[in-house]
Amino acid sequence: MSEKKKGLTRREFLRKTGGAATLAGVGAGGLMLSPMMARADEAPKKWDESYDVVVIGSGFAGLAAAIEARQAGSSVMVMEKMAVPGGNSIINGGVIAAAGSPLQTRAGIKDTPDLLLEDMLKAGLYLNHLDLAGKVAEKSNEVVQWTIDFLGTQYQENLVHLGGHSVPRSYSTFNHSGSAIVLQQIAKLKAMGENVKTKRFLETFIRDKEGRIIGIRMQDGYRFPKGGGAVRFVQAKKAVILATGGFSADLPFRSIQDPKLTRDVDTTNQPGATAEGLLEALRIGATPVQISWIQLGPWASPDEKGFGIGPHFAAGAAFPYGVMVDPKTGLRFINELADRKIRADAILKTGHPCVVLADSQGVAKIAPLLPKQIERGVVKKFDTLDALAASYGIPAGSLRETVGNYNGFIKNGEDKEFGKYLQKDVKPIGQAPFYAMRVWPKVHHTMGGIQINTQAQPLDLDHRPIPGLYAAGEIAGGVHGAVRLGSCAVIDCLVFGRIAGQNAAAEKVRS
Amino acid sequence: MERSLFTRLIRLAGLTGLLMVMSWPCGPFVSSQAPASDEAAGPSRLETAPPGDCVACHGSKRVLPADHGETKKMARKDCLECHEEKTKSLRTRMPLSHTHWLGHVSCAECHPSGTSGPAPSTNQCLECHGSFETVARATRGMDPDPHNSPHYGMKLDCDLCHHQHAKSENFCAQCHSWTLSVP
Repeated sequence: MSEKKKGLTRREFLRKTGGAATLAGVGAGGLMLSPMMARADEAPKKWDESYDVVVIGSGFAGLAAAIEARQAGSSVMVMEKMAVPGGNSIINGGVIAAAGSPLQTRAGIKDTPDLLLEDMLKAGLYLNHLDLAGKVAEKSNEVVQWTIDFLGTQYQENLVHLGGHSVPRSYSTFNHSGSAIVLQQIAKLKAMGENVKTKRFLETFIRDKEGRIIGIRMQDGYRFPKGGGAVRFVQAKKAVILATGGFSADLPFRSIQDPKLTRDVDTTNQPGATAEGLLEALRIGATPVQISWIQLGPWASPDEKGFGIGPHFAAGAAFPYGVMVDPKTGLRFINELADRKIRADAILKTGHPCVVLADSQGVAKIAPLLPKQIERGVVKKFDTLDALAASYGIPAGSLRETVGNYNGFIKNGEDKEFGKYLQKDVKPIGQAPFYAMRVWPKVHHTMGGIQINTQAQPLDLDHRPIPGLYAAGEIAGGVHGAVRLGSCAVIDCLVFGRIAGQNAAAEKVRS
Repeated sequence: MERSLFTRLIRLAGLTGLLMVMSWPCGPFVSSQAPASDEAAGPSRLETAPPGDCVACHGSKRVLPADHGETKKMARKDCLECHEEKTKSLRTRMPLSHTHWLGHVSCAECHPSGTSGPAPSTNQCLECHGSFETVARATRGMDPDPHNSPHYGMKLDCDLCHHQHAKSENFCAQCHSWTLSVP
């Protein structure tokens, strides 16, 4: 985990010195300015750099915003605090949902944005902000086609059916990674004359006397998590776009929101998924939304670090085509395609990692990944179900019965036990070899964040848009409510990233 | 009654002192005075010292095991007589600047404008090491391939792993549990 503080933690420091006001002053080594002045005061005597639009964060949302702003003719600087671009986006699993897509039409699957919205609301326990979720559902197919037509992203031929979705609707990148989109975004930006500037860290916003965001103070040459960059003032003549992502890897902040998420709980995220950007937005008065709703992914393996390569087996093969059992009983215990929270909570309730399995037909869609998954010991291969049972300590007779029952449901076209959606091409489990992996939840996504409107403007505590500021992606809250559906973060980031970039570019230049 | 100038100065000095104490590095808001690298407080980096002469920079600090032979006149090929790659590799045992210098690549070669300027970019490495593709070819077939990442492609800064003035590290290890022998 990213334990970045030595000695005093931030909270102890605040208690001891009496207030958040002093903390930012520390950052500038500021002997002259107090941070309150730095925020509400006029611009520094001299800006070190000046752009129309300053984008903070280089994941799906930040890059989409930068591309749109550049296309509209604005000068843009994209800054990234880590040494590499792409944040979580560049390491993600490469699935993206589209409601009413060409691939669905080809496969004879009926789908609409309204159905996707219904699925998002149901999983989100109706905590979703309807206008935001609606916008994402409405534009889901448009934005996926944008990644293909405008960015040149390549996808596989078949759709993936992820948990909580009524129908299969997720496109899957050719390399099973979000990098297929991000690297295209970076290349497109490069062709437009912009490179992501790494090792640049947002310290504070700079506002004018009316409270408008007119620039930022940053560290150039920042080394996560230690710090150490040179302080620079960057002017944003039109707007700043905050796309700093979520905080799943921020052990102190996430455990304040949800004390169960201790050091022992692994995360799928890259180490830089921490809350500094979010906290800075809250500091200037952005409204917090549902920050304690933190998602655990149910398809992760405890036998490898982080996200790894196991999830593709669980989500692409075992959940849709196979079964998940509690190894102590050999029984199914939940709908394998329920939403993430329902599955993760059910696994946690058993008190130990559970086992997901599929046979040689069930793994067809992810077959190219199997050799590596097996080599790394994440997925295991067996000649018989009994051998599989023995390996995980599952009562063999019970497992055979579970599989037999499940096969009966397939023959009759209905999962009478848990109501799982049966894929059009699902087959009874029986063809050797058999494959299995262990699953145990890992911290994956932070649904909450700052409130935005459908124009990607953060709203302050008086419900007014904060002038000169936009936000998009995981840092914003309200799109997904209590639980995010798989492959819906990418559309959220791209839809609102593009809106933020377009709107930022349309702002009038401040002199 | 008006406070004297003296009193005001004392108060100002006190406030300044307080602010200086408060600007001690804390959390992510570290002041720009913090050293940019772990090695800033380390041994002197004498550009003229012979590569094998540890004492010249490290002084009396022991950097070699007690029973190590005399290295003063050695170059890299001499080290490799004992430190062959498979069993006694020198990888990650010392900063890469040492390996370069033992291989007759001096400080000036990477720092043509002097060592007090900005750090050389990856382009400097590629002056000798060819291109990203050439480097990737050297590890093609390795799994994982450290020079061709499914996330970042081939064009990553060499310095992410191959530190010159600190021991090299395995950048992939942030997320993955592979052991890589990183020069």
